[in-house]
Amino acid sequence: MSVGLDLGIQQFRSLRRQGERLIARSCPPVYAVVLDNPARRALFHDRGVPFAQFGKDLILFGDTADEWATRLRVSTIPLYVNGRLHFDDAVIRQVTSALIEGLLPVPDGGQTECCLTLPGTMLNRDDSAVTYLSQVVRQFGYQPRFSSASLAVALSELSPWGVNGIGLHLGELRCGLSIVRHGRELMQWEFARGLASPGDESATDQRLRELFATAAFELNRRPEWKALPMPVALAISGEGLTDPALAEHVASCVQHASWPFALGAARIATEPAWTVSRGCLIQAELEQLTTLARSAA
Amino acid sequence: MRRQPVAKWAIAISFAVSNLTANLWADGPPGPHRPQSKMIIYQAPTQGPASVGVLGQVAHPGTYQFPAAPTLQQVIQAADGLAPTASPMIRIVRGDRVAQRVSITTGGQEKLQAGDLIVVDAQATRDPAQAAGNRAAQPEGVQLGLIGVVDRPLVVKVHASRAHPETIIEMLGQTGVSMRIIPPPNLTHTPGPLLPDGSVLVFDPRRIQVGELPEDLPKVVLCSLPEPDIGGYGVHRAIEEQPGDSSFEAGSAQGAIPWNSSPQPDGLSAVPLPAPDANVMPTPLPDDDRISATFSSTGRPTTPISRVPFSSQQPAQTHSVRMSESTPGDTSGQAADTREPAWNKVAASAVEPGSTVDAEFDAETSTRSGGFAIWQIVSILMSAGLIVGLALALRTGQMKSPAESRTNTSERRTMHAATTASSSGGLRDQYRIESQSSIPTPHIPLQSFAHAAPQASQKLQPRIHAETSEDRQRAFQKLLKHELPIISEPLALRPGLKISLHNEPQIPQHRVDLPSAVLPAPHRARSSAPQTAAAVAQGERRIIDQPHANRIPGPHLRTGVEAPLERALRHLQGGVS
Repeated sequence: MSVGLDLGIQQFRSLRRQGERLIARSCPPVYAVVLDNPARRALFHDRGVPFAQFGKDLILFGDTADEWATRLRVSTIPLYVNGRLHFDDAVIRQVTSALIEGLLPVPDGGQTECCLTLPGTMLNRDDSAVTYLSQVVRQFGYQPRFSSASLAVALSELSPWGVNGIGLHLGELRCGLSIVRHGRELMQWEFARGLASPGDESATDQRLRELFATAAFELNRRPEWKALPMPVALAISGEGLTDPALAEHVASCVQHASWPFALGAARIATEPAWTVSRGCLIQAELEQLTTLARSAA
Repeated sequence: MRRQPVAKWAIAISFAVSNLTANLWADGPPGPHRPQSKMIIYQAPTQGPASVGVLGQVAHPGTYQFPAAPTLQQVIQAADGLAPTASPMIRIVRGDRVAQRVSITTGGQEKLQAGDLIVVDAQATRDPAQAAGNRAAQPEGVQLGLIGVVDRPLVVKVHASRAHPETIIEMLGQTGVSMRIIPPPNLTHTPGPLLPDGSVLVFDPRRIQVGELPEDLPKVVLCSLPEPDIGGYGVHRAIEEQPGDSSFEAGSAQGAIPWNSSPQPDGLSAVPLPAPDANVMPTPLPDDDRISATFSSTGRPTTPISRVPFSSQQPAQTHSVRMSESTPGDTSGQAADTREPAWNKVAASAVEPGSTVDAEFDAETSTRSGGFAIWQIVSILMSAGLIVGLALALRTGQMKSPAESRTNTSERRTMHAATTASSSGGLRDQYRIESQSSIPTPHIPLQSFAHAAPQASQKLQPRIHAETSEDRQRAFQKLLKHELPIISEPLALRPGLKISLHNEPQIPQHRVDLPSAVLPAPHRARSSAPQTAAAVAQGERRIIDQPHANRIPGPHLRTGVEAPLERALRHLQGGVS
């Protein structure tokens, strides 16, 4: 079984293949702490709301936290603080573990691969986060493999070009770019600014121009793109591209950027919410297929 | 131990033999006291004129209108009696199906409803030569009954070469109508694309375009029922000439058929009916009284109908309608040809996709004419005995030797773990996997899967999860092309979670309940779970809370002897396999 796991800032998503369909699970990375009393427990039991006991309180997760926090007049608490998952916080760590457990299905006993992205900004990309998430995923029966969001975008969207090209992920707090050749990441670069709350349209436009100018400059300095077949295909995805106006604007900005190569097709993801998890799933399936081929040989 | 299966088999066989005997007897002795099945038929209101059609082997088929609902005998009499080739079973088509089958020996006192179509089929024969001769001797025309076209049933006769559903619809000037074909039940040959003689076409009246219907549809023949004190069973018929029906009157004295008898450019030809008096068969009446039916028909002399008492026709029988198609001595009740006629396909495809042929006729609500006889009760008891005997026999057949029984028990026990599957044979593996499907999957915590042996988890899954490499490759290609649909499912949060404030993660449940028989020797003490709560807390806390911990100390790995289960656990926990 292979699972793609996208630990995004807005949503945690998992995607797996079951026969000829994809099964998706998602939840916002939030929780809510509500007071524990018998009436409330009975209410949650009646409504089938999962909760965890937290001292003398109860903790609700994800969508149920969003839903019941309004009713019970409490506020939800995001797992991300300033774009980071603070794994040194015991509660955040346990809630994250519980959410990942809820996102991952019970493994079927065969070889189980879970490809996931590291959450938050690059500041979070330390050994402790990798080790912790590895242990959590492994504990639930999967072999963890990490991937960048931009590589996942390339894997998901560049298959018509033989998975050759550049994947660009426009996140909330960071943007990433990967040069991918035959499905392998040759170079990965991150821009420590995202499209979160840029303000008005002009600010968004300014942010995009800045991003693409920096990306073009960075690519000009790196020779990896020369290994790509010309013209270079570009795939773009990100949570914010669910807005058609923004997607159109991004496409326009991409065309006007001064790339060091001849730009071919610029593909905006059709399902930006699921692009990263789909790419992770593709990578996990590739790993599994490779392993099976090796074992068969 | 071995006597018990033999005794059970003997009981089962004796039950079966006795039940077979009882069933043979249950058919009942032949004779007048044999119970007959009956039908409960909805009686239509009798007020107002009622138009009833007669089709088939009668002297003058057509549509007859009575001042009130007639009986079957009155309608047959109005059609001048049955032909010598008539089948003793008469079908009454009501609505869109055959509502009733009546034997002519029962007297014909069944009350009809307005719109009924009486179909008198030709007598069937099992002799192929005779059947071929009958077909050759049949007139060129084909009689068809049409229901739902107008407010009365129509009986028409068309040229045999024109008896095609599409042609009929074309002749009616209709397009896109819904049609249901009720063929004659006694087909002795596979019909071709043409409709056989005696077919009834039931149209959906909602789709009939009345304005497009031809003007020369067959008219009704007005008949008057005699007063009860006058004759009882006689029918006074008076044909009311209506303007514009000259084409129908040309070929039939009764004005019913043939339809379009005048030469037409579409190939319809007039087929004259046999002379009405030449082939009239005496219609049996329920009593021996000789009552002459007087017809005031135009152009035909009044003809008394001779009646034959029942006793001379058949032994006295109760008034009944058989539910089954076949009755003793009745060859018309044979099952209809189950092969799909070619014209059925034509009708289904060319007329309307939903068109069907009513080849099987639904039986209406039935009831027994009398109470339960003793032989019926005995038959029921014997049937129950047979069922019990068979159940005992089947259960006995499943019994095996004690060794096999122990093996099965062991297999069932090991289903939850299935760790020794590799030591079993292929057949036993299959048996085990198949029998797992009938047992509900036990609830095992997620983390138990994570730490269970991979081969054990593999055996827990049914085979439906097996996916060939070709399937996987095909699905992967579809995944790359975005051709796989995404289906959302809710988050599967584990109930009963506890979250602590101070670095107290949820303790993973490493319990794998293996039976002691399948564990290697060092594990026989059921050491699958951690020993103490303190050890659990310390050990598992280290899993989550110490990011730099290299390995997770497993609770199972304390024996010093590495078993396959331990290797798998180490592999899952990130250790070197």
